[in-house]
Amino acid sequence: MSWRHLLRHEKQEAQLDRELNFHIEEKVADLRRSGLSEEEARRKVRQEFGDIDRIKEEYRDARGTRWLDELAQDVRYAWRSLAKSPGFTAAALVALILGIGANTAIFSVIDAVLLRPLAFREPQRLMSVWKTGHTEHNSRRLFTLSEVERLRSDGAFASLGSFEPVSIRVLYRGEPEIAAGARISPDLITTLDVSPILGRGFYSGETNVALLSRAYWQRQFGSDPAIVGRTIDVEMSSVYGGTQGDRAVVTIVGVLPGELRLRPLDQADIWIAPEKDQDPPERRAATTFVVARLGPQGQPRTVQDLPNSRVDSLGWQINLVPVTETIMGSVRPLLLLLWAAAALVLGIACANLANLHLVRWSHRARELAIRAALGASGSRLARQLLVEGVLLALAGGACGLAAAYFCLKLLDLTRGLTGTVELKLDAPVLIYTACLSIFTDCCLAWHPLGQRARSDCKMPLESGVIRDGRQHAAGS
Amino acid sequence: MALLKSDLPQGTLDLLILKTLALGPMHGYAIAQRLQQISRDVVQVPGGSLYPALHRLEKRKLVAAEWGNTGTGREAKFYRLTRKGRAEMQASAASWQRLSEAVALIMRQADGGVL
Repeated sequence: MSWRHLLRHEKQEAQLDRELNFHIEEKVADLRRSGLSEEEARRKVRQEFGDIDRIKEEYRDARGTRWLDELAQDVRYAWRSLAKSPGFTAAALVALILGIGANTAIFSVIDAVLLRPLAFREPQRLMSVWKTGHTEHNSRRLFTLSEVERLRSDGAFASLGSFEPVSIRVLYRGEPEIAAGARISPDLITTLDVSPILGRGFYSGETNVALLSRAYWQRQFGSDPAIVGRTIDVEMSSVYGGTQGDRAVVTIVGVLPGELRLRPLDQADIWIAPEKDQDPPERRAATTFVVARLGPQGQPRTVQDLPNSRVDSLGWQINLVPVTETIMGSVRPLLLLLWAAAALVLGIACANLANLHLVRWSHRARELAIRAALGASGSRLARQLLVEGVLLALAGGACGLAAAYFCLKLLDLTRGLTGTVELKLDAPVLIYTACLSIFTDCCLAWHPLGQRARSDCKMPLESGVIRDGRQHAAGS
Repeated sequence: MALLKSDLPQGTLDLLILKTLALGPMHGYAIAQRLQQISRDVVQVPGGSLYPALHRLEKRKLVAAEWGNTGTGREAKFYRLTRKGRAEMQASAASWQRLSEAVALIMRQADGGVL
């Protein structure tokens, strides 16, 4: 409902007043001319005219704006009645804030971790590859570079990329800094199929180039779009120790999207495709992670399902775990459990509120009966209860959202559960909260409504009158 | 004896208003006066019936309303018949004519004691 609509509504009401007044004044003038006194004329016109308020109501009915006036009345009435019982209102609000706040916070985590799409194209075809022995199929060991080379030459995957977490000393504008990094094979970008948000990815075979994580780019370079093409001095050393640091001058070619979420790659600030290793590969420790993209033909779970694989002859086995499972698998049951717990909290809150409502309505049964006797229709009374519930639930929803916001800040600090996803109250979360509020409200409103429908409307009034009568008789 | 709205058959008031407006645009009070004069004080429409009826007709776009000056220099809301209203008026006038003739016929027959 726009303000213009409301203004037009006001204007039309004023015009209706003017029109009716004109009629009354003309009639009074006519009657005066026929010899009646002003007072008599007015009385006669009033008699003849009938109830002006009824005309107005019929007019609003005809224009279909009556509900607007009644809604305004209902809201005012609900506000007064809630303000009159602050204890109830406070208890209800606290319950709603707890219920809706907890649900919104948990849902926003679920939204971020389970529902938001991954940054990789067709993530269901991506597999984390682990080395495993012939006997223990589920162990997860890393590869040496020479083993990665053998996997690559095996040709069982559509493409295959590898990375190794490294610690990087960055020399940029003089001051050296330590950053988390990943030494990656250039084909990792095409395997993951991520599109940089700035610049480009790596060309195949390209060396001495680097990509920055979005967070690092924002933190360290103030989101400077001119970063592409600059060179930085880096010194890489394996986080697992052992190897000597490699010095290199690398060119920044792009910025990665946020939320890559594939551990431990998501911890890396700088991805570097270094120069081809000069060391004999055998000397390297098993420190390399492998990610493979499957061809479109299917989803093998073990290496035996892979066509044309000669991995079997290598003396070790591989273990394939879908990347989606690596990212979400471990937290999914936990999150769903938390969600269920939060839903339970809301359910309990609803039950408590419904009971509070019921107590309140049993006190107000007389009030309702009197209003029904004065001509309020059943649907009007029902709507008032509904408006009261909506008002309460909206207030609870708004406060719950604020509570959820603080919960998220708290969760952001702990980080353990969610990794590096960004928690935010975005559109899906807001929609969820709105639906939750409406659902809660319906539970709240319909419960007393059902109660009212079952009980005889007149009874509370009669019993009240009799009781008052007796009291009156006893008092006199 | 004055006829009140409740004595008028359903829908008759609308027809009477449309018929009156066929003479030219006029405001609500003038419509009431005209109805009373023409019917020789038999039809007296109270404001409580007239205005809701007018607003219903306006909503159905059978009449259109616009503010204008009366002869005495006051502002009033003038109603006029729309083209749709004229068509509606003619249709319901014809059916009213048929109905009243039929009723009259039946009343005459009953009086004549044919049965």
